[in-house]
Amino acid sequence: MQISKMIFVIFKRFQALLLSLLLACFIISCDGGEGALDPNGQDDHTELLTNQVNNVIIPSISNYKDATETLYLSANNFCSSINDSNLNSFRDAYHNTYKSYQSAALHNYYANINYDLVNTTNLFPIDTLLLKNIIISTTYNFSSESQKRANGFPAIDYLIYSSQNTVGLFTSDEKKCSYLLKLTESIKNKAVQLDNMWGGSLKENFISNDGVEIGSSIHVQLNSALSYYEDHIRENKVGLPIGRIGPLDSPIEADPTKIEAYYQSLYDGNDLFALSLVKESIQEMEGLYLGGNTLRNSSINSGYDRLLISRGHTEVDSDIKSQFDLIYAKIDERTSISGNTDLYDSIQGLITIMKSDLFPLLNIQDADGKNDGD
Amino acid sequence: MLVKTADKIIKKSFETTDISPLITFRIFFGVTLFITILRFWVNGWIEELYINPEYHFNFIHNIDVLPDIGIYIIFTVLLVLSIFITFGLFYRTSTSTFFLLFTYIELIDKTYYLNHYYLVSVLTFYLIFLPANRAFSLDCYFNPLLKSNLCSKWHISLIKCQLSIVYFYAGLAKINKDWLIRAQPLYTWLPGKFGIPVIGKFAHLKITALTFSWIGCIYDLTIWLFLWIKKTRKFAFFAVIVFHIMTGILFPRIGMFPMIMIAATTIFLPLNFHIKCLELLSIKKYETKSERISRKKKKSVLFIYYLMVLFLGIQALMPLRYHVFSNNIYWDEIGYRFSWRVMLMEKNGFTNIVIIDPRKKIQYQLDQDLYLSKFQQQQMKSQPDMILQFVNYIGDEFKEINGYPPVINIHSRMSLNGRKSQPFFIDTVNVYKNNADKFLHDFKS
Repeated sequence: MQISKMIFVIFKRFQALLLSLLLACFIISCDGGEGALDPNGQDDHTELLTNQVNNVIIPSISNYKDATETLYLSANNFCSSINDSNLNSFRDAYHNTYKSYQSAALHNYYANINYDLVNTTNLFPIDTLLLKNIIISTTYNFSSESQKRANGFPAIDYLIYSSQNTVGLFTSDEKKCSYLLKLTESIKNKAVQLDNMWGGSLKENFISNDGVEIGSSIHVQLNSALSYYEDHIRENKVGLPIGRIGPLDSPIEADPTKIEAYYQSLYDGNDLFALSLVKESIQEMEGLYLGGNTLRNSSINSGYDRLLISRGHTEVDSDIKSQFDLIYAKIDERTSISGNTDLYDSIQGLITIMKSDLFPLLNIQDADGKNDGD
Repeated sequence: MLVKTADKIIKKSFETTDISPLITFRIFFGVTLFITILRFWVNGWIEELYINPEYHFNFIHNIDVLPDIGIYIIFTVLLVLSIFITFGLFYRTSTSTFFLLFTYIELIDKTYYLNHYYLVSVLTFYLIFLPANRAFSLDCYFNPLLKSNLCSKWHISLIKCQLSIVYFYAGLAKINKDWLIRAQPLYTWLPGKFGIPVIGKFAHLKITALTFSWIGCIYDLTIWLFLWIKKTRKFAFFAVIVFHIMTGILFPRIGMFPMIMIAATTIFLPLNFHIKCLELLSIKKYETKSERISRKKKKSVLFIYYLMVLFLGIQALMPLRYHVFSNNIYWDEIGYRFSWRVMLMEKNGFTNIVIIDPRKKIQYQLDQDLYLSKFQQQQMKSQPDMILQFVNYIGDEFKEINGYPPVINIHSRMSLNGRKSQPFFIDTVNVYKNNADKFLHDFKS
């Protein structure tokens, strides 16, 4: 009791001095350093999430849907009059749709249909024997596990680029057109379903599921996008063909057949189209980061860049943007994916920055939140 | 002089006082124990945290998880014992068994270490030796001879001193540049709290994070003093309630910590409060008439007293051990646990474990999903001791399969308290059975 009395007396005597010292220290802390008093700092993420939906997700999915409708129409035109002109039109529609797919597929979250989208629309390489048997049988199930390796864009690639005489092959075998029409219809239907979902309550739910906690839209979007980026962009598009699985793993045997649009690469004698697909997917990732697909090199910050900048992390924002520049430079440097370890490393570089800087600085957790934490 | 002072302290410690604060502490703390254990059942944590994971980061080498049925039995027993403690039934057995079982659960896996679970173990340990069943208990109901309305002052002061240690060191840990000048980690956490009324509108501003940081530091450093001082006690307790409710709202994942602290801190309140509480809980009128029972200091009583003083002394010194062992406690985390560093840092990044087969000349990145839950991976990646522990397990497994040891490197970057990330482990060092002088990069502030 005497000790407590003593402390009380000391405090009373020196409280003015103590309070002044505290106030001085506090004022010194309020310097203009990192992220101090930022008038542009967001007080919630409604604007960011609205930008994501209106300028990134829905445009990409909507463009993809439109492209699949054009693809289907073009397939009908080709099959109703099989000739080189219609084949070229169909090929153009296929190119456009395949590119649009790259953007839509990144947003493989919330809508369950997306699982189907990724796994039945772009699993490569295809099993050519399986595909031939399915065409012969005329029994199609584009959602089944058993036909997943004879499906989607890789199947179209095989049908229209595996031969120098595509028109002849289609003319002599009507079952090919039958399959092609059903396949493009299936691709279109899935795209329409996806577009409808995002046009409905999913959009409002995405915007309203605010915050950065586990399960929030930001948490789900960033984690899902990064997971897609690692598996489907880094590994499937580049890693497997060049023989790199995981950035720290020993090389495996390179397999140049394991690229997107493989048969077109053989047909053209280069991987330029496959590289363009990689570029589309990277651009979508960049659009997600910037909050808009047309904001590259813009001074407008309306995505995750804005969150970083508002908290004083301009250096990390700059690193991310520079990494995208590097990836594009590596894509443009070559005409082949084979042996393109520089491209792989540059794609990997973005993962490193996102995991080690973007996620921690925005307080995005990657665990499932079990148990308390203190 | 010292001997005289020590004698005075001992004499004062054994002066008698009303036992009511100790009884209400037992009841309130018992209720929080019950809720703590119940949450494990309700949230499915028993299975998620203890049964499902293939690997556990045990604190002590041979203390591992029991088979599934054993874990369920333990949690069932803990739930029952918490009720027994609340009602003061089979008190000594209940408290000692609860302490042993709960501490065992905590020693199974470092992943789930929480400061407030550590506090539960410490307070339950004290309760074993305190006469908190000598009134208002079922033990007294069945054995009226046990009843006493008095206890020694040290019985109550022990709990107060322990809580003071918790607050003081929590505050002391906040005296650092990151907390007070950079307002980290609050400046990383608060912007996400915009949905909270009033505060939410300003949550993204650094001034808000700074204000909260300073309030938190000053609160922790001084609240225990104000609780000791009679004149400021009531105001201080009000501040305790406000502070802990706010932290509970701002950071829901802090779980039981606010409730445990509010419940435990009631021991500081005036005697009237405790008497009124017991009267409210009484079936019949609570007797305040003191019954003087012989307080002759037996050797066993003195022995327990010295044991508690020794344990309290260890508690007072434990948080300081990092001065001896650590270069940077936030980076290498040596001495971080068991030192009341509560909600003090945000450290995140990635950690990849690369296994090199020296004979086949191949290397591969370990798929951690095969061994660890996502939560275990999240906790492990920033804590060097857990990484090394897991590496040794993986390395031993490799050696058992292949007949020779692997080389294991860690590729890792960490962001600490809102900084740009920096390399964590030196990726060229073989950390398996690590004897290297240095395996972490120096931290650059």
